[in-house]
Amino acid sequence: MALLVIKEIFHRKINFLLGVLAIITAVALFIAFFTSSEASKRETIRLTRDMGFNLRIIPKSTDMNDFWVTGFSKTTMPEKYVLRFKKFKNFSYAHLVATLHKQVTWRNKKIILTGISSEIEPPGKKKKTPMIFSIQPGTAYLGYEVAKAFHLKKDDSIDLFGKKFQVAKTLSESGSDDDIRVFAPLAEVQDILHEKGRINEIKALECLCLMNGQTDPLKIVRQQLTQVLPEAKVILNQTIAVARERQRKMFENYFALLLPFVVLVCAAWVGTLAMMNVRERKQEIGILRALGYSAEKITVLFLSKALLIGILGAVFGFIIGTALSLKFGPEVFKVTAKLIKPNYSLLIWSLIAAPLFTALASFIPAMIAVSTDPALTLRED
Amino acid sequence: MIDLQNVGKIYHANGKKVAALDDLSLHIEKGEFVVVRGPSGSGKTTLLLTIGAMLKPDSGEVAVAGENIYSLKGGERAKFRAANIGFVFQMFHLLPYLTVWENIMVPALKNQKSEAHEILEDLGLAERAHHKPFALSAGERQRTAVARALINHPKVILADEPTGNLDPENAADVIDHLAAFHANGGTVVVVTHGEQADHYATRVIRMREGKIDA
Repeated sequence: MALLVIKEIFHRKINFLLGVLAIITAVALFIAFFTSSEASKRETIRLTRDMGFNLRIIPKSTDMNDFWVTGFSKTTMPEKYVLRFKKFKNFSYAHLVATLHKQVTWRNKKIILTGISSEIEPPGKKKKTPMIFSIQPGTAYLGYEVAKAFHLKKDDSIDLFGKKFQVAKTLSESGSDDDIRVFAPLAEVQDILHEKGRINEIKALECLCLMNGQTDPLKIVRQQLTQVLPEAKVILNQTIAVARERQRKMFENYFALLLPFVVLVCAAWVGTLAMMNVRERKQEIGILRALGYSAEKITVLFLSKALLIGILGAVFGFIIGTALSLKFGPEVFKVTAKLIKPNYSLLIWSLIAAPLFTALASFIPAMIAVSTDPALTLRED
Repeated sequence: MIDLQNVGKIYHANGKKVAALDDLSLHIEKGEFVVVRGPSGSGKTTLLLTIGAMLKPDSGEVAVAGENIYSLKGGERAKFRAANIGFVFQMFHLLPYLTVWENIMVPALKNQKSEAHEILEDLGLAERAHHKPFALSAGERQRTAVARALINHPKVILADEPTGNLDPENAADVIDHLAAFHANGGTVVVVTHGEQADHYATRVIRMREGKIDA
């Protein structure tokens, strides 16, 4: 039986190779997608993270008119509030940063002095790369307009209300009020502004994992905040949140659309080849029946060939898909290129799915092969 | 050995019914060598395929070696066919991707290597055992088909125009081999237009329009 399958394959090489090629194409596409997906996911997170924080947690008593006019809350709250987030697991808040902002006049110009703490993460979350710069004690970061107005550059010394700072960085133009800010460590800004232990905003990033069109993300983040910090209220920057979510979903949707199409085309391809094979072997099937081969044996002949196509397609598809990912993935996902590596569990899945797929695609042709009356083909002589 | 009772088989072609076998009854004893003759479309091949458990008749009963073959289920009928019936066709019907040896072994029910060697020797194919059909002459191809039909020591050999594509010398050779099988007690039914088989025939049957011509 195995001899018949193998010899027939060698005899009709083109038919067999075209079948294997179809499966290689489908498997390679799947493998390339799944091998790159982790990198893509991380890259998307990185890119959207760079769009900035999307949550602003401010004291509950903040006058919202003043808040939107000045860009920050005039009311303060205890800095220790931010530590409460450390106690709550599985929160959708991340990258929490305590900040204190105040409009001040420095060198006869109105600027915003901003103190920032280092980031804290709620428990149960992986250690993340910080979203915001970490400012060393005694150093300051200058917004673009501030640096430009006073001709300040890196390593210059400045005096901020009697306290000396070294310029660690001058920021590039952001097109926002960050351009007129001076950033310094929170504790030192609290000292300068005589607001020890006080902050007026906690910035955070919400992953928006729950945003699926059916849930209201703002409602969810507000419910979560009420549990942790009832003394505060939260503002969600919808534009950033939505853009972030859309970007995250785009890659998944693209392949969700493409992959079924590829599967259908390959099924039709393999099915057509199997059908052609059955037509070509009509007489052969007749003679095998005459020689005592049962319908079951004939089915096994056709399905064995289909399984071989599936197995070879899975192995070579895995190799080609992985090679394509390793070759082109790092060019597409530059930041997270290191995450692209061979995933051998996908080989096992391919070895299960591809033969099953080819067997199913060949099933109807195989049934036609065994149900055709062999006497009809032999009588045609 | 072979018993057909009131067998009917109708084909539908271009909206017309054609009776390939028309209420045909036939009895062939064990060890007979029967030659079947008749014009094209008289039902000769249909008769052969019906006896060979390949073509279920629309009516009547067919028994071979005491077994009502069309009462057997598909798998059982295939086993019966492999064990009891050998086919030889005009177009040889060898599998093109197998060697002579492999073609002979396709229907083998068990490990029959020594028998296969003997059959190849008897049929003068020993030196061609590892050749594929395209490398054989027409006579060698038909002898391979005969060898394949003999491998399971069948009770009956059914041959449909086995000499139709052969020159007289090779035709005689093939008929001689069928006669040898007959001489060893086998039953042979040959559909043929030629007269080479008449010498060995225990009976010649003529068919016309699905019936045996008296």
